[in-house]
Amino acid sequence: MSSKDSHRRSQKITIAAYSSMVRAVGTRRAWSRALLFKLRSQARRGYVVKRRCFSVKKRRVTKKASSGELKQAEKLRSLVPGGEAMEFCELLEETADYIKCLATQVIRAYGKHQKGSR
Amino acid sequence: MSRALPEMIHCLNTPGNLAGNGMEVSVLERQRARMKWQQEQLQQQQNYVNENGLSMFPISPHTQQFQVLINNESVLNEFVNRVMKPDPGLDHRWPHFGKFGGEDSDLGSCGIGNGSGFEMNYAISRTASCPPAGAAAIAEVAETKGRESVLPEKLSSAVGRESFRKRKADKTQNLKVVAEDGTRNKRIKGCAEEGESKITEQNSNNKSTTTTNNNNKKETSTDTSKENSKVSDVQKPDYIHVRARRGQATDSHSLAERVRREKISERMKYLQDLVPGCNKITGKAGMLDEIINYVQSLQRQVEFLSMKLVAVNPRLDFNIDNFFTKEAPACTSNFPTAVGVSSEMANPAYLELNTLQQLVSCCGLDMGTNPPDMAFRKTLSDPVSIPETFLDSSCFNPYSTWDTNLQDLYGVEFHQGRSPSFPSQQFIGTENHYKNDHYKTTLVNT
Repeated sequence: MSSKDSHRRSQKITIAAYSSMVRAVGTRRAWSRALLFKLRSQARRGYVVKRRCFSVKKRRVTKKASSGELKQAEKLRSLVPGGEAMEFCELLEETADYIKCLATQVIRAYGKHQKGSR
Repeated sequence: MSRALPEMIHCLNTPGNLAGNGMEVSVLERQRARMKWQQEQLQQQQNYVNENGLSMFPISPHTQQFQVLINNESVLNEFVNRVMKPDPGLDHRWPHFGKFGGEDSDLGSCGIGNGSGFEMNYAISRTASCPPAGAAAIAEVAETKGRESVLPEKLSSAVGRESFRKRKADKTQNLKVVAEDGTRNKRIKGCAEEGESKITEQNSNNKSTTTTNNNNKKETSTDTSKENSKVSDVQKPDYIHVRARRGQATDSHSLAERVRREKISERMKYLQDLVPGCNKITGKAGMLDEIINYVQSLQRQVEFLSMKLVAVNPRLDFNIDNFFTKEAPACTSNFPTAVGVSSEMANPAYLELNTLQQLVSCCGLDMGTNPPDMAFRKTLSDPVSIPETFLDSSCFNPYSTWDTNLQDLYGVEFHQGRSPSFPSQQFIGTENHYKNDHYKTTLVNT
């Protein structure tokens, strides 16, 4: 298989993993809503849009623009889905929930892998 | 605060107190403690009154309102009358009592037009200002009117004395600011909902109506708060509804700023518990770095494990893009049933979907039914244990040295892992990074 195909395949797998996670969470959290929107728009378009921010609300947060924590906050925003449009306080809360869901998914996937390989 | 302090500290079993920084109690915790304290005080006061039938028991307007909230209207009327009659000196301060006594059923829409009436409304939601001020006012009035022999005994004596002492020490400075945000009102609602087990239902209903009414009056309340903070220097403390911490500004901007900072620090503490190995790090910047690294590593692990799952399970060709386009609106409920239906569902991705979905929904549903702040607070105590128990029981001990080893691991893995065959040699090469034998054995087996 060519590298492009394998890349495509791994992308699909990743999308499947995230979609399962986000589907379980539903629309309860802002990050899950943003991720759902992103995945659905990807599916509609048929390709992955290589753009940085997918959030529906494009309002820029300019409050803490001059603080030193901005770089890390930006990085965190890029990691957490939908983080672009969140204020810092909300971002922390969403990060916490996101970490919890990721951790449970990892552990469950690992457990399933263990079970499947026996 | 010999007796009340242990009670208050006991009340402060909030998860927000995660860092062992007992010195700085946040506004929210103080508020909660005060609510419980208040309730106890009022219970005691009621007992005293019922026992003794005091002719003179000057209670501040706030505690009176609180009594009404605890649906003791007859007692309130009694208080009002008794306060008014023998104490004409107090008339200039509590002139609205006559009106208030008749309208105690619906405090929110109280037709009290004057400022003090509004202050009373305001004071319902700003529970923080009530007990010490009330006790202090009582103590002061007793002193001025020469009935001190009655009151300190009747009041919860320790608290009364303590607040009196506190008042003596620093009158206007040792007050706490209760900022006014919409989030502040949400917190009050959160507190109200939490304390529902303690407070009667009518009380909480009244509180929620008053808080919603106060939400409507938010703009005017900011003005009155500034006015109150200025007025505090002139009048007696029982009229102060906004408090500034000692040595800090009473500006509404700085109040909001302080509340926001406290929220952020609370969430950082929560994240500190979530992210393993962050106990030593005490800076916001360092914590954020750790959090970022952790999120990245988790995401990489998700990808890694999902690819492994796909490789292990026999898979049919499917089109993941159709996954979302074909979805019905009620798709989530159909997932468990649809497993055996279509051939696509036999796909390992869907297997993955089902298991992950079930688990995450179980974990997620615990938090999902609560309002945001409540969810946050409730999940502070309980849910931190979830990832911990999982991590303890599972084999993923690399977290202890995850910052170096995992990156090496994933570097190797992703560099070589693009091919679908996943030859076992790669895994054996990386098994040294994992401390666990479980993982080793499975690697050898694949």
